[in-house]
Amino acid sequence: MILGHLKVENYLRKTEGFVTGCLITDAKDRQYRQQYVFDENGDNLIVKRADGNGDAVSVPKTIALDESLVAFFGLYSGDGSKGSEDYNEPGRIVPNISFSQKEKHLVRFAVDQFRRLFPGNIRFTFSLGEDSAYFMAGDGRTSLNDWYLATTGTGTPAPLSLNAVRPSPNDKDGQYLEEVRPDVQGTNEEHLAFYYQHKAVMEAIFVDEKARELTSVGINLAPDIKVTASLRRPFKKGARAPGGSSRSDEIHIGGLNGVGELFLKMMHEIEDSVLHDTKRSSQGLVEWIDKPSVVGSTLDLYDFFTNNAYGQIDNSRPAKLVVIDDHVIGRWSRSSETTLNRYLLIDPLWCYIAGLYLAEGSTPKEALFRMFSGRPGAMAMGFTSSEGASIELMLRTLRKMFPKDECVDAWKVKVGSQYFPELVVTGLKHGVPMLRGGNSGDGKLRTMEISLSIKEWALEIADAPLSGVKSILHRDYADRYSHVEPTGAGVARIDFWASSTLCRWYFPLLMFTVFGNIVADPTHEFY
Amino acid sequence: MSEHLILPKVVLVKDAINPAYDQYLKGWREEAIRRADEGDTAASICLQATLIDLVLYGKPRHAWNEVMDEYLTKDDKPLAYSEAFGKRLHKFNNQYRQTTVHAIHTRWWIERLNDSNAVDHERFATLVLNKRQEDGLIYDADVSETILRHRMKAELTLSMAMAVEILRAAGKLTGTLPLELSTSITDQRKCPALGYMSTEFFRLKALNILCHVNLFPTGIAEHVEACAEDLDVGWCDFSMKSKVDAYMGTAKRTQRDKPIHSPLIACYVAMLTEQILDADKKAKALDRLASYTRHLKRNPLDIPAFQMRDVPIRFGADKTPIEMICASHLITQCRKET
Repeated sequence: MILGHLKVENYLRKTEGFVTGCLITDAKDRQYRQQYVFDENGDNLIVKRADGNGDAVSVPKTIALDESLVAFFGLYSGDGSKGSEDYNEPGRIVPNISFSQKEKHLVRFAVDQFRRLFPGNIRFTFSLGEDSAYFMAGDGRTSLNDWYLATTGTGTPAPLSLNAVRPSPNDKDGQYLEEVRPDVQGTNEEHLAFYYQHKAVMEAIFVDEKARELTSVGINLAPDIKVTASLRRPFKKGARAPGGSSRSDEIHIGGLNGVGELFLKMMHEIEDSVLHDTKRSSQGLVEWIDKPSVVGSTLDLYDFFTNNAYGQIDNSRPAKLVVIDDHVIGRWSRSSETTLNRYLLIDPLWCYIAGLYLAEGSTPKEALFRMFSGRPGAMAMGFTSSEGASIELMLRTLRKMFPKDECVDAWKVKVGSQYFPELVVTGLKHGVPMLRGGNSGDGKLRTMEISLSIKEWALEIADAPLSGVKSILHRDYADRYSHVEPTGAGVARIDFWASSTLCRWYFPLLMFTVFGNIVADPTHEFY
Repeated sequence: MSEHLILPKVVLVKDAINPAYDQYLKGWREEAIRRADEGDTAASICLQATLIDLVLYGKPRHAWNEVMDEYLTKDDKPLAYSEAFGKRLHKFNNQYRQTTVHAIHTRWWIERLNDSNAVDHERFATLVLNKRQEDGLIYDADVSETILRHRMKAELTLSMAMAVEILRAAGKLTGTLPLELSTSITDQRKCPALGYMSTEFFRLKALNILCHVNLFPTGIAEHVEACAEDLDVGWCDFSMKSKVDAYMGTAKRTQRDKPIHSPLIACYVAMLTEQILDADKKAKALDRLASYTRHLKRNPLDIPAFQMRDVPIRFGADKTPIEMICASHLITQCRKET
C-alpha cells in the first residue's frame, strides 16, 4: 500500500538544491550540507553536486513510500552509515552510503530497496571485516585448516617466526608489538606472525564464504557486484580471546558518490514526520497520504494469526486464539497467555520501527527468518538506543499492539568503559565509591547513588526530541528503571526489555510488514 | 572542629558555607529529612545531611544516628541503603542490603561526632578487618564480586583510607600491619598509579594514616598537569588521554568528551601538591588553585556535570552538598589570602 511519497523534485526546487540537516548519532551533534544541481530525464532527475564533484545519480522525481521502503529507512537508520567527519571541517559529516548487515535476506532486501531509490548504474561491494584472532581457535581454526587441506593437501602449516613472514615491519606493526594485553595468552610477536603467515588465506576463506552466501539469495558476483575481506591484526578489532569474533559485514554502494546528504535527508524527514505525526515533513520532502497515525492498512490480528502465511511459528498456529471485544487473547504452544489489540494499523510508524528493530533489536536476525518453519529457540524482546527518538518510536509501536503494562518489563542504562571515570566522579560527588557487579564488572552496578544520577540523564535523553512533552519512557515507565550496567565500549544508551512472550506475536507481524509484499511463503522461502 | 577524610582540610564549622549555596543545602536537607521520615534513606544521605548540619549550624541538629539505627542497621551491621531507598530502583530488592566499607565508616564517623567517648571502635575495626582480602587490600568483595583488575581504583584506595582511619582509632595499627597495608596499596599490579586525582588522594590519605607517606608513587606532578588539560580553570579527576583501552584505539572514542572542573577534585589536588617536589611545578599548581578559587568566588554556581560528547544533558551529578561544601572551603581560603 502506498503510504506517502518522497517529493524529491519539489523539494530540490524549493530549496534550490540545498540539502542540509543536523545529525546526532553516538552523542555527536554534527551537520551535513550539500548543494545539488539537477536535470530532468523522463520520470527521473539526474542529480549531481553543484561543485561538479561526485557521481551523476538517477533519482525518481517522486518516490512512492510503501511498507517495505519505509521499513528500509528504519533499517538503514539502525545499520546504515551516517558518514564520517570532514577532517578539514570538524562538526560536518560527509555521508557515504553504506550499510552493515550480515543476514543474507536482509542484505538482499537492502540491495533491492537501494535499486528502487537509485535506478541508475549503482554498484555493490560486500566487504567483510574480522579480527584475525577468530582463526586462532574454534570454528575459524577449523576452516583455516580445511582450506589448507583442500589447497595443499596438508593442514595448517607450523607457525613461522615474525622475521620470516614480516622481515620489515611497518609503524603499525611496531605499535602493535608495544601494546599490552593482560588477558591474552602468547606474545604479540607470535600473534603478528600468525597474522602475516595466514593473511591471504584468511581473506580468501571469507571471500569464498560470502560469495556463496550471496548466491543463495540470488545475488551473483558480476562486474557491479564484488566481495572483499579485510582481516585486522589479532585482538585489534574486538576479539578478546583466540577464536573470538568481531565480524562486520558492510555493503558499500558505488555510483552514489555525492548524494549521501540527500539520502540522509530522506531518512530524517521520514523519522521526524512520524515522530511528530505530521502529514508533511518540515521541509516538504516527505508527504504522507494523511497524518501518519491514520495512514495504512488495518490488519485483523485474529485473522492474521489464523490464516496468514506469516502468522505461524514452527509451522503451527497459536494454541489459543479468542476474540473478546476489541482484543484477542492468545497463547502459543509452550508459552504464556497474552492480550493483543484485535486491529493493528500498519502505519508508517509501524513500518519504520519494523526496519529499525530488525537492525537494533536484541534477537539474532537469523532466528527471525527461521522461526516460521522451525523452533525459534530462546527469543528476547529488547531494544537499545542512545537516541530518545528511537526509544519513543519503539515504545509507541509496542503499545499499538500490547497493553501498556506489558510493553516494558524494566530498563537500564548501558555505559561503555570509556565513561567509567565519569561514573566514579559522580559517585564521589555523593561521597561513595563505585562498586561494580559480576565477576568481570559488567553486571548490575551496586552503587545506587550512581545509577540514580544516571537515571535523570536517561529520562532527559528520552524527552529531548519531543519539544517539551514528556516521553512515554518518562511518563509511564520511569519507575521501572533498574540500574546502570558497565559494559565494553560505547556511549551511554538506554536499554529496555519486555517479556519474551511478546516476541511470538510481534516478530511475525514485523516480518510480514517488511517482507509480506516480497516473499509469499516464509516457511519455505527464507531457510 | 570536625573533619571528614573525603573533604581534606575542609573545616566543618558553623557558617562555613557560602551564602550562594545556603538555600540549596537547606532544601536538600529538608528533602532528606522528609524522605527519611518514610524510611527512605541511605548512608550517603545521612553523611551529606550531617555535613550540612555542621556547616549550617555547627553541630548535628537532626538525629541521623537514630535514623541509621532505625533504617540502616541489620544484624548489628551498618547498611548502605534502607529497604525503602532500595525501592528507588526497580527489582533491586536482592542487592540493596549492603554493608560496605563506606557505610561502616559513615556510621562510625557520625557516632563519633555525636559522642566520641561512646563509640565502640573495636566493633567497627572488626567489621573492616573482615573486609580484608587475600591480596592484602580492604574492599567490599562480599558486595561486589568483581575481580581486582576490573575494580575501580578509587574504590580500592578510598576503602583503604576509610578502613585504616577506623583501625587507627581502635588502636589496631600495630606491628607490621601498617607496612603490610601500605605495601599493598602502593603495589602497581594491585592498584596502579593511573593519575586519577581522587584515587591518588585517597592513597595518600591512607599512607598518611599508616605513617608511610614516603611510599607514595612518584610522578604526581605530571598527573596534576594532565588533569588540567583542556580546562580553563580547575582540574578534572582524570585526563582524557588517560582513558586507555588495550584493545582498540581510543582517540576517536574519546575525542569529543569534555573534562569538567570540580571543587571536590580541586581540594584533592590541593593536598596532592604537597607531594610535588619540583618547585616550579608546585608553584604552577598553586597558582592554578588560586585562580580557580577566584573563579568560584565570582561564579559559585559553576559546578558542572559531565555530558555525553556533544549532547548538553547532565550525565551524572553536578552540584551536590559535598561539592558545595568544598567550593565554600576554597572560596573562604581565597578570601583569607586576599
